[in-house]
Amino acid sequence: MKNESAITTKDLCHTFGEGPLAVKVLHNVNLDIKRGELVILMGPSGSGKTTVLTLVGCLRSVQKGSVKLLGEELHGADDETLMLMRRRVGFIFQAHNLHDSLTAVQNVRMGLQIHGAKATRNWRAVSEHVLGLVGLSDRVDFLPEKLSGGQKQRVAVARALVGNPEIVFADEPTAALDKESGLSVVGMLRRLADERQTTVFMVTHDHRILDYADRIIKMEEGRVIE
Amino acid sequence: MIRLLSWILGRLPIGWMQLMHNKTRLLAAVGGVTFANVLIFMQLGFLNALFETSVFSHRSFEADIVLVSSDFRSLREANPMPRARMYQALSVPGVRDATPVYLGTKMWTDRLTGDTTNFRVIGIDPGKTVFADKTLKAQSAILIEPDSALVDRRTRQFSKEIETTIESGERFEIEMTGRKISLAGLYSQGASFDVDGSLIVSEQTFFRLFPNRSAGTPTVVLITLDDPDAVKRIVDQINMRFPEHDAKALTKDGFIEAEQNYQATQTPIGFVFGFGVAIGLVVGLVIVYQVLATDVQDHMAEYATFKAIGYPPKFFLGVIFEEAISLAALGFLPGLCICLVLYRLAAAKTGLPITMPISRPILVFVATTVMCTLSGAIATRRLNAADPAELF
Repeated sequence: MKNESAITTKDLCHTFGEGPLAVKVLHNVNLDIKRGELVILMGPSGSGKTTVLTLVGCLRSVQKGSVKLLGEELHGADDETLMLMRRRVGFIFQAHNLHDSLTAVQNVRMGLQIHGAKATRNWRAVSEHVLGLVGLSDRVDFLPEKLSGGQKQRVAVARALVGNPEIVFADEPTAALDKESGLSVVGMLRRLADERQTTVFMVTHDHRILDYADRIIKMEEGRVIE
Repeated sequence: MIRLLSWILGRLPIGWMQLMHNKTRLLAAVGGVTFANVLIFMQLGFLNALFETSVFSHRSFEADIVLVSSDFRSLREANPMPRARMYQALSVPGVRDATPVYLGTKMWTDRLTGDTTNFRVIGIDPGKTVFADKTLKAQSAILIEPDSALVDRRTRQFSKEIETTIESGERFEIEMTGRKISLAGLYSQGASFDVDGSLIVSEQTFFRLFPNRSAGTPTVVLITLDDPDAVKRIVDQINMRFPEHDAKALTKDGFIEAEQNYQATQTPIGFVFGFGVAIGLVVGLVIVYQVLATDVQDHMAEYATFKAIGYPPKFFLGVIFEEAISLAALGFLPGLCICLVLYRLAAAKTGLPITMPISRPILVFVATTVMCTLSGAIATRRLNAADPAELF
């Protein structure tokens, strides 16, 4: 299990724009991330790391090269397939993007509801349990406006984790958090990787959390350099 | 409510919750829908009053078949027809009786107040049954007396003085085109858009008021049958006897329908109110669209996140339609209540029968729902801008 690949890319290239304005942002990126690994992707801004994340996260169509996610080839996949693949993974964004009309537990439910009526049956218990894991047992019925920035981000983490994703993609998950909450969020992702063999693929600048990673990949100008 | 909607939709009623979260926006949207509803209800009320009042006289006649001039479009401008057609019709088996009716309009100016009333004057043979109404049947004998008349008590802004005088058993004298007419009885019919009320007189009195009309050219002829069920067949038989095509026979329903059809399609009034209904719908459409589009705009990041999580496009359509239908329902009830009050006020002011049939709220609710759904459908075009790839 440990040696099975969760994400592999082969000669992945990507270009933004068309014609004379086209800018090539990725040049033959090759990655191989195993299940249960926590991998951090680093690099200066503009190095293409976010593009890699959106491509392997099924948020953008692959133009050239190959991306294999959980054994599925993403090159040439239609929108429907990409959407279905996205349901198997979890996203943690830099901004929490919680729905302001929904309470914490209802926001978490949105991550569960996508898996159908069967998964949603015990939604309240399941969602409360995950909120407990991120330390928000006493905030389940709060609207986002009543939560602090760190608490909101932890609700977003709970929303990403509630569906038991096979891979978690995180983009600067600690950027909006203070040191303590940031470390607790990453610590939790680390535990997930160890206990449930969840793969975590994270883009970050935050040097405080590098110790949690199994592997650090560095990018520069659209190429993997290390 | 949220629990009920969750159960119906099988998901969190996000649309409803979004609406409830922003109370100011909700108020604006509901106000818009209510306003559109009031507009539509009022226009429909007037339109229906137009249709109803235009056939008051038609309905009051006791007849199975009505003969009219072949170019008949509306009683208001009906041309006279030859009375000879009545005798031809009488020769058709199954026809029991026929009676000519003479119609014209006359202005009467009250010398004391200076108010002018436009009457439809109906000249009848007092010896025949012309009206279905019992109070009219009982009073028609009075008309044998020359220059006497029965007056419609629901005439627009009808003088209380006339009403009380007649009710006390006395007569009220008025002057019309140089003749003294004595109002001797009351009945109840109602004002319409083109006349303020009606006045029933004998044929003889009618010819005195309208010297250029003659007994040989009635406006309509009312025919009763031995067997009212045979009306279709007899109408055809009568029409076959009119090779000159200067007159035609209509069933009573056909007669009413012809008048309403004329009012709806040939007069500007039908168009004006129809246009009012359309404007109401467009106003509602624009307001609801604005509200929904702003709402989509404000939740772009959340929608993009839901897209990233794996929600399909139809989920977002569902949310917006849920909002649209909620708005339709929330705006409809106050709109209906306001209109019930306005109907009473308008009816009292205009003397028109502005009423609310059961079918109208249903019709308006359906129209409102369609309107809101359409707004929602336009607003959903903005959803395409929710690109999850932009979130990182």
